[in-house]
Amino acid sequence: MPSLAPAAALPLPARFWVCLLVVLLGRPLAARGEGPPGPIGTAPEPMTVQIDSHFERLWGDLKIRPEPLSDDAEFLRRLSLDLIGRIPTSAEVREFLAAPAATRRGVLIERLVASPAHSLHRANIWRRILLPQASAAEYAALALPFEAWLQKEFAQGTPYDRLITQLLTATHSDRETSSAAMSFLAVGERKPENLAASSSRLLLGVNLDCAQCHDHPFARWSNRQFWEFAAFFVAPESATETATQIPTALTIRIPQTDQVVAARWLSDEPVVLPSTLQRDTGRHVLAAWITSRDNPYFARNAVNRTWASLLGRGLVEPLDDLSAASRSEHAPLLDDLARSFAETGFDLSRLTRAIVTSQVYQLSSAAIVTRDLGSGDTHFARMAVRGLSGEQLYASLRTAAGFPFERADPVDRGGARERQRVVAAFATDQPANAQRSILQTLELMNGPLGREWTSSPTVTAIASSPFLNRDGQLKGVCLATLGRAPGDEELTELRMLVPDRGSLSPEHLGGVFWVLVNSTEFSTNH
Amino acid sequence: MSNHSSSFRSSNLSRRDWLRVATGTAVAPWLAPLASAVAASPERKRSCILLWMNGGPSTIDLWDVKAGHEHGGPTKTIATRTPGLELSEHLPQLARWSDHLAVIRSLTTKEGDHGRASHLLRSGYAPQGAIQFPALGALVARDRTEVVRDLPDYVSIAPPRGTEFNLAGGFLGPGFNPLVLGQEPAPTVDQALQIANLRPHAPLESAETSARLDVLSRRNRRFAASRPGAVAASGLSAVDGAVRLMKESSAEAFDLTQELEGTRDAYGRSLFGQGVLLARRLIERDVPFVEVTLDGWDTHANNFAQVAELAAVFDRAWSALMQDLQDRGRLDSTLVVWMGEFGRTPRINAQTGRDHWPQGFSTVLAGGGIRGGQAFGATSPDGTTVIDRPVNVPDVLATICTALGIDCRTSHLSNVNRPIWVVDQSAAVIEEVLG
Repeated sequence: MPSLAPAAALPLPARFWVCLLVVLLGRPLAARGEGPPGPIGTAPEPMTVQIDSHFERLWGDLKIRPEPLSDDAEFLRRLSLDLIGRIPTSAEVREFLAAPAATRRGVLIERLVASPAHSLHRANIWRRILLPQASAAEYAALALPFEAWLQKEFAQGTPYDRLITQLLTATHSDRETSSAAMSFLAVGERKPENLAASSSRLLLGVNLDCAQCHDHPFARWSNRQFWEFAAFFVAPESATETATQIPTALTIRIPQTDQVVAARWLSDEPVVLPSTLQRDTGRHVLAAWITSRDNPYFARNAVNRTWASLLGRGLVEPLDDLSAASRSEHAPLLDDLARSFAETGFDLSRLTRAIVTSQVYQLSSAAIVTRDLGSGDTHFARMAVRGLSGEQLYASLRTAAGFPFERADPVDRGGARERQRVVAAFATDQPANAQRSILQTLELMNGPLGREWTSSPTVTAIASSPFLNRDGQLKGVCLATLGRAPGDEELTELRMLVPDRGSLSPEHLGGVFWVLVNSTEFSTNH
Repeated sequence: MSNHSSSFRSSNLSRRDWLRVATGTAVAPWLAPLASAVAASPERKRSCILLWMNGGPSTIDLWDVKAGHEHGGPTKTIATRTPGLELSEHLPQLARWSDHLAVIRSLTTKEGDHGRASHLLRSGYAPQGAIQFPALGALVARDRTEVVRDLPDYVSIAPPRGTEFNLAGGFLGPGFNPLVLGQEPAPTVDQALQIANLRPHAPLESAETSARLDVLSRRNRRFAASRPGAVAASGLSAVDGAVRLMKESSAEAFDLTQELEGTRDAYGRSLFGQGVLLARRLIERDVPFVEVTLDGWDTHANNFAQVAELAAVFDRAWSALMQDLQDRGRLDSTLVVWMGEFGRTPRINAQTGRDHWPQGFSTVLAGGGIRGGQAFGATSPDGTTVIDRPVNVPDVLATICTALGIDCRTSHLSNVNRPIWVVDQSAAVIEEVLG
C-alpha cells in the first residue's frame, strides 16, 4: 500500500509500467529517486527549499501525512498541461520513461520551461489574469493580440516588473508595446475609477471595489483611499480648462461630494511628483511604485497567482484580496517567496521552475492517505484535480488525435474558428472548481469534434500497424489519450468494447478513443 | 492514477450513494417544529416555476404602485378580479388571475449590489466567505432525489452569463447544477432554446453504444471515488445526466414545435415567453424546478418605457401559463414565484430612471399552496419604507419551501464542514399567504 515518504516503495501503477516498458523498451523501470529531483548539476533552487521546508513544517504541525509523489506518467501529463498547455504525445511519454530515472523530471522541467510552447501557454494564463474582460464576447477580439504581445515578452525573458510597467504606461505613440498593451487601459475605458479597481485587484491583490462606493466593510480601505488611488489615472491636461494653468497636482473629485482628493499610495509614503505634469505622469509614478521591490503587495500577488495557476488554488484566497493574507497558514511562505522573487529580478521562469520542482507540486492527486481531509482545504497534502481550460482541452484533443498541436503564434488562422468555439464552450474561471456541465458533456460526446476520432491520424496509425496485436492496439489508444498504459483490469474492461479476435478496425479503435477522451481522467489535470 | 487497483475495488458506489456521502444530509431532531403544519407527504410535493427578473425590477411600477404621489411617476393602477387589490396598468392580463396571486409588498433586505443581492434572493443567504450556498433550484432538486428522472431536476432558462455561481448546486455538489438553456445568442428563439448536440453519433440503444457508455460511466465513477471533490464528481454526474437526456423521450420534452401555434402565440414569441412555455412542458413531465429569466430590469435611466415593455412580456407569458396550468389540472401542484434581486428607488432620478432599492420591494407567489387574492404587507405612501408586516428573504424562502412540501428544518453538510439549514433558522413562514 502507498506509504507516506516520497522515497517509498514502488507505487501501484509501477506494475503496469514494468510490463509495458519491458515490452516496449526492453529495460526495467528504475526505482524512483529520493524526493523530487532538482535540475541536474545545480544546487537546489532556494525558493524550492523554502516551499519544501514550509510544507514539511506545516504538515508536521498539523499531523497530516501527504500523498506520495505522483508516478512519472502522471507527472509528465501534469507538467505538460501546466507548462505547455496540452497533454504529452505517445512518443513524448515513451521518451520520458526511457530517460534516466534519477534525472528525468529535472531535465523535463528545464526543457519545458525554456520551450517556446511555454511562453505561449504562459501568455494565455496571464492574459486571463490581466485582461479577464477579453474572455467575454465584448472584448474577445483583444485576447489574441494581447497574448501575442505577452508571448513575445515572455520569450525575450522580460522580467515581470518591466512587463507590468509597460502595461501601465503604454501610449499610442509607443510602437514597441503596440496597441496590445493598451488593451489594459482600453478595457478600463480609461476611467480612473475602473483602472484603480482593476490595477489594485489584478496587480496587487488588493480589492478596492467596494471602497469605490463606501468604506470597505472588512478590510481597512476607505472610500477616500479608493479615490486617492484613482487620482493617479487622471490625465491632468483634460482636467484643466485653460492651457495657461500648469497642473502641479493630480486630483480627482469624489462623485456626489464636494471633496477633491490628491493622488496617494495605498501606504503612507509621500508621493513626489515632478513640477510639471504630463498627461501620463500619474501612470508613470504609479507604475514605479507598484513595481517597486519594496511594494509589499506586488510580488506577493504575482507569486500567489503563479502558485494558483500551477496548484489550482492560491496560497492565500481569494486571489483578488490578500488583505487577510497574514492570517493564512501559508503567509510565511508567501512572504518568503515574494521576497526571493523580487530579489531575483521578478523572473517568472525561475519562480515557475521552483514551484514545479517542489514536493508539493509533485504529489499524487489520488486521495489515499488524505481521504479523511475530504474535498475541502487539504493544506496541499494532495494535488488538486483541476478542470482543463478551453485552450488546454482543445490542444489536448488535437494532440491525442495526432493532429498538429502547436500553434506557431496565438493569432492562428487555420482551425481558429473551431478552436474559438471549444475555448468559449469550455471556458473556466477557477480550474479547481471547474464543474463539467451537461451541455459541455454533450458537446464532447456528440459534437462535431467527436466525428473525427475514427479517421484521426492516431487511430489510423494504430489500426494499420502490423506489429500490434489487439492488446497492443488498445494500449496504444490509452497511451495517446491518457498518457499511460492501462492497468490489467482496465484492459479487461476495454476488451469488452471490441471483438474477441483479430486486429481491430478504425471503427472499434475510434469507439475506445471516444470512451477515453470523454472520461473525467482525460478532461482534468490531476 | 496511482491507485487504479484500489479504486477498482471501490467502484460499486452508486450515484445515490455518492450523493449521500457527498452531501451528508442530516435532520436536526432538537429543533421545535415550525408553527406551520408542514405536510411532508410526497403527494403534497409541488413543482416550482421561478420567474426571475434580472437586474432588479421596479416593483413600485408593477405591484405596489404609488399613483398620485410624485414617486409614482406616470404609472396608473387598474382594478383586478380581487376587490381592493389594485395592480399596475401594465399587468392587464394578470389582473384577471389576481385571485391566485399573493403579492408580498413588504420584502426588505440590506443588499443593494446586484451580485450580493442575487445571491441572497436565490439561495436565502448573503455571501459568507468560502461557503458555497446552493441556489433554491438546487435545494428543491436535492429534496427530490428519491426518484431518478431522465430529465434534469433543475433547469435554468436564459440566465445571463456570469451568474453561474448564483445558480449552482454549491456544497450540495455539481449533480445539482442546473441544465442551462437559452444562454447563447442564436438567430431565432427556437434555436436558442434547443439543446445542442443531443443526438448521439450512433443510436443510443445499440449494443455498441450502451457498452461504451457503460465503460465510460464506470471509469468516471472510479475516478470520482479516488479523487474527492466537485471537479471529478461533476464529470461523473454530467455524463450520467447527458446520457439520460439523450433518450428520445427526454429530447421530446424540449421540442416546442409539438405545441399548437395558437398556444405558442399566447405565451409571446419572445425568449422569455417561449421559455415559460418550455417550463410548462417540463413540469408536466415532473421536473421539480424550472426557472426562466427575464433580463433588462436595471432601469437607471428611462425607467418607465422599459418597465412597460418588460411588463408586457411577462404579463402575457405568465397569464398564458396560468391558463394552461388550470386547463391541465396542474395549477394546484405548481407554485409560480416572481422575483428579482431588489426593487428600485421610489425617488425618480434625473434620467427618469430609478436606482437600486432593497429597503422595501415586492415579490409574488401564485398557484399551488398559495392563498391568492391578497396583498401582504405594505410600504409607506411614498414607497420608501415598509410600514406593515416586514418580511425578509429567509421568510419568503421558508414560505416557498413549505408550499413545495420541503422541510426547512433539514440541514446539509457544507463545504466548510458545518451543517447549513435549507433556510436560515431565523426564518418565519408567512402563514397568511399559504393556502
